Amino acid sequence: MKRTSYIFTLLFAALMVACSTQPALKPPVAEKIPHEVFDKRVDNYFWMRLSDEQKNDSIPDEQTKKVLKYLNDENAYTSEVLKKTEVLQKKVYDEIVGRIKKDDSSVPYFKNGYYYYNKFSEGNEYPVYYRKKGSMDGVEEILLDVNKLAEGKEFCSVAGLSVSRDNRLLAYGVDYISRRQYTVYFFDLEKKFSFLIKLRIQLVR
Amino acid sequence: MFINSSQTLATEVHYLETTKPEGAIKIFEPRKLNHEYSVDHLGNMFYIRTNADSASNFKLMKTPEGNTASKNWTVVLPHRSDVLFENFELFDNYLVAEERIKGLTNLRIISKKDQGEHYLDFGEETYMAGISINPEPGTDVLRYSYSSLTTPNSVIDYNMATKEKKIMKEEEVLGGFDKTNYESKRLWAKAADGTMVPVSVVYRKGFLQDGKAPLLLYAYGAYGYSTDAGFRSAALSLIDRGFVFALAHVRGGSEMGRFWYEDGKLLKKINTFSDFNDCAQFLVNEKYTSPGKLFAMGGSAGGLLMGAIVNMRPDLYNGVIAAVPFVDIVSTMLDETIPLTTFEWDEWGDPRKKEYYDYMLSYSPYDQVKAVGYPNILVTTGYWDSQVQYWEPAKWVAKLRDMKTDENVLVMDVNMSAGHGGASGRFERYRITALEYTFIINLAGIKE
Repeated sequence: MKRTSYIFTLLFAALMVACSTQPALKPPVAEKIPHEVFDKRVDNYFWMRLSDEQKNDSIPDEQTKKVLKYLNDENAYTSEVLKKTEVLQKKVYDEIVGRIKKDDSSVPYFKNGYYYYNKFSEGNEYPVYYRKKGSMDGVEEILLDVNKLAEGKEFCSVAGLSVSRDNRLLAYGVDYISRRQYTVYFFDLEKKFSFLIKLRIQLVR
Repeated sequence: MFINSSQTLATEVHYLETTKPEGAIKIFEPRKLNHEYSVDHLGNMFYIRTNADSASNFKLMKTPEGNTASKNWTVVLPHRSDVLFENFELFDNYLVAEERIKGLTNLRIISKKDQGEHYLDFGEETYMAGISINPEPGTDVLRYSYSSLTTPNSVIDYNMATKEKKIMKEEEVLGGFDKTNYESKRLWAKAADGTMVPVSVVYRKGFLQDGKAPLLLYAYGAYGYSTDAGFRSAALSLIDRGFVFALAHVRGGSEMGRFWYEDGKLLKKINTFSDFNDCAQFLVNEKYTSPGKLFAMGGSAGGLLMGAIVNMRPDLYNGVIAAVPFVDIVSTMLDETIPLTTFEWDEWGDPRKKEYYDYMLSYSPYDQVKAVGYPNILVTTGYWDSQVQYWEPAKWVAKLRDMKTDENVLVMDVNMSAGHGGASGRFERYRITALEYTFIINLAGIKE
């Protein structure tokens, strides 16, 4: 009898610990490797910094593996800690997205003989850009379908659509890796072919 | 066609006549340190928005084609010390100036025929308005955009001759949104040095000012970018749960004019942080919330702000969301191999100089982490971010973990496939917003 109550006490104590220690999962502990930076400051976590070359290398080196492991461990810890809010997260997400009109279009503006506008359709993450000649009763001409550009891509940002003065060429910038460096493409709207010129555009924080 | 190149404190414009595409690209006015300008063209005149001759709030000048050098420029709209001239649009019969006065954008319509002028009346205490797309100068209709914390994004055509407004579109907000259920206000918080800082707030009608409501305070405060009180449909998920949503228009933005920016950068950067804490304290004193219910949020340069405020006032906030935070400012600004470093010495300071080094180190969030109790903190970052590299928040989180003395939550979400702006799709981008909002809803003790 005495023994069982002892076990119960232990169990109870364990439960108390489990309830009071929040979060239950241990956070990742980053290794400290002292590194001296300017003016003799010591940065223990300088090792977390990878170069672009390391990040882009098809075979990751030891440091890259270590950094990726650390970041993935942080993500796993975050998921674990926030697990209890997953249902609410889903609910809040559905609310936010539920407020957005799924079929939406912009107010057309008139420029150099054409009306320009864009449309979002049900289920599409990105817009389609259009124009009509002369009036809004004219024939709809597709300038650019960003959904097509984004197919199979994790990220796709289009900026700076611009039409030439003779209404024949379309220029637009695309960033596929979210580094805000845009490649500028040109599209011949009459002959329906595209070509590209690489340009780098860097934006601020 | 204009080609603009700019840096924090200087601009240079080149131009090419589009009717002569084979012609030479000409320089409009060579770059000079501290000269920022932009150019538009109508008829045979160039119009220049410029800060030349100490016009810190900018003025409008013009010059004939063929005489683009600054010595030929003549004044159209003179400089004013209390009005920031932000943008303009040229029409055959009208000139429209976008002017920021006491924190709010105004649209000023000037008739070219008789110089008669008037301002548009928007009828709300705090809002956001701006010139929209107006490619054709031969019309009397100005298209402008408008929204407020309670009015969804709108596109309005305004006939400058008849003064008639036509709402072309008001963003449709689904899910039973009714703007009459909400109320927004503009308040003034007194900063430690006596400066009055505007704060915009929005809440559901019926809100009780008894200090019991949760409140999310957001700010940015850098590069002279103003944080305007525009519509944010996502924030309804907080407001409808009883939150007050507030914007602190701290120094570092240009809300009150160019000086507002000058007083929140370089060796005055700490004003940005202390303004935020002073706005937060003001909202507590006025019983909009209390420290146990107070949350703060900022991203990028506003993430630096989050890192700084938790070091300065760790006791004031329940929870903080630091998105893509620029928290390792001294090391980053010393490293010329990082994309934005040399470009931005005019914004943050050049830490190779001792005066700047000491000042920047005194607030650098990563360097100033102490063994104290911190609020609950959610940090977000993207592995491919080139504006604020992922290792800044990662190192900051590791150091906070090592040193902090509290049991509060500290988590970091690393998007392994995105950069500074997060996901690009119109729905997908809200996954992170939902994560952030849920983080604070949960901390506020709200179950669903």
